[in-house]
Amino acid sequence: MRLKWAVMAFLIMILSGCGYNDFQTKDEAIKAAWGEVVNQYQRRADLIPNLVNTVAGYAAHEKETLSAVTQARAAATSMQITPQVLNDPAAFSQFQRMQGQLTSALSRLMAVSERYPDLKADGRFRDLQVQLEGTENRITVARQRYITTVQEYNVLARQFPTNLTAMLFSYVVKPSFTVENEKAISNVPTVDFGQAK
Amino acid sequence: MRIIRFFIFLLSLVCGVAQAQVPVPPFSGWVVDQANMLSVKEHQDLTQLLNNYANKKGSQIGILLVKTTEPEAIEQFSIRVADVWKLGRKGIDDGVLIVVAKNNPKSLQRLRIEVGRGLEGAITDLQAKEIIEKFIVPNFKKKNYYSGLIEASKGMITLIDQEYAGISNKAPIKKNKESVWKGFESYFVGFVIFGMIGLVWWRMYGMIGMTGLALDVYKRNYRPGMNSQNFRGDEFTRTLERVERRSGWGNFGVGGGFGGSGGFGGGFGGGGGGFGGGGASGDW
Repeated sequence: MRLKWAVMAFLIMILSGCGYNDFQTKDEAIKAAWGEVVNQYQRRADLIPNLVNTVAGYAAHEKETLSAVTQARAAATSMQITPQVLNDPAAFSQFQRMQGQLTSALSRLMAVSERYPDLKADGRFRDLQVQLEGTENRITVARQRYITTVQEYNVLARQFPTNLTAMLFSYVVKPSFTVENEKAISNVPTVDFGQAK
Repeated sequence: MRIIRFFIFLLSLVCGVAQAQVPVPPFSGWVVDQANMLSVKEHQDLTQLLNNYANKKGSQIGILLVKTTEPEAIEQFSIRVADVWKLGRKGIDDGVLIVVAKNNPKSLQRLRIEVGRGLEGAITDLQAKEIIEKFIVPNFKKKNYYSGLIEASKGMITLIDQEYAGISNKAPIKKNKESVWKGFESYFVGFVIFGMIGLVWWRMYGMIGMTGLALDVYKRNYRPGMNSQNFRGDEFTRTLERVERRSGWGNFGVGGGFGGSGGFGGGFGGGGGGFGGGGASGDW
């Protein structure tokens, strides 16, 4: 009698997969979302050399700000981003930190550029500004989508009974972008020097 | 005491509402005007232009005019709308969304062109900005909203045509049929499997079958005056076995497919296109 019940339960578990298939889908979704995030950060990094050159053409003596951006970019792009970063919380937060530093350096550069009307009138600089804004928006969208995807996965990994499947197949909770970082990035300083455009 | 709690609950609702985001307007047509910026005729003409283009080419341009997007910036609002409306064909992602928030403060910006993934090459961020600066801003400054929007639409049509000369519009606009089938399919499979298990289970135990059989046997063996004292159990059991052998499967138990609900949203809908956050914002 008990054997029949056990066989039944086992069959049902196998057939419903106890979330196993869901894990596969969501794991792949996370990798795709993460790839997108890395892609957009790289896109931003690619814009920076042009930007630095254009600003240097008008504001060469703002050496500190310019070199800060160049160094931050070098640090951010030097880090190897593999899908393994998702399994390593330390590497993940390092990645966040470096991109955050690049964001701060960039905002300082854009704030400084406000003081140079010739630079602001330059066509190339305006184009780069538009491209940078577009890229920052893409980064924001990619991050939001990654956060949503990771949230769904983590809920699955922590809820009963799928957490048993998770333990069985070692699906750990994946890292997500932390709230402090979200705040820091969403508050891009809008510096107004009160100068007429 | 209960009244106080009730009022606290009401208060929390009100406070919650005060901070709420602007809800995504329903996708009722190519042009959705919640800010009354267009006359009826202008609305019709604009809709017709976009409708013709969508039917001819397949790429979907949508225009949304709202009063405000506060507390969100226009970019955050427009990507939310784009994710719900899903302009553009699935897989090709050739949708464009123009959002105008008439009463937004300067910091949140009042114009945005949200470009679908597939069109990011045809309408780059720079080109989107140019469309805003060249077509929309001058007209909007003079309060010629219709002119601004129609010129911007025509500009984008030109850009899309240049880039997408090769893609045919035969790719069907998938409404919600796909999602209906997907939902149904998974439920159906689940129920068939469960039904098969049920069949095996009920055959082994035959509880519902047994109930039916028991009733059947009882009817056969009922003698007037039968009560708990003179009820002959062994006779009852023998009849039961005989009936069971003859009836075979007895009862089918739970069985399969009552199906799932899936997604039944019908009517007007986007084609399932995706957006990545590309485009440009502006103000007039």
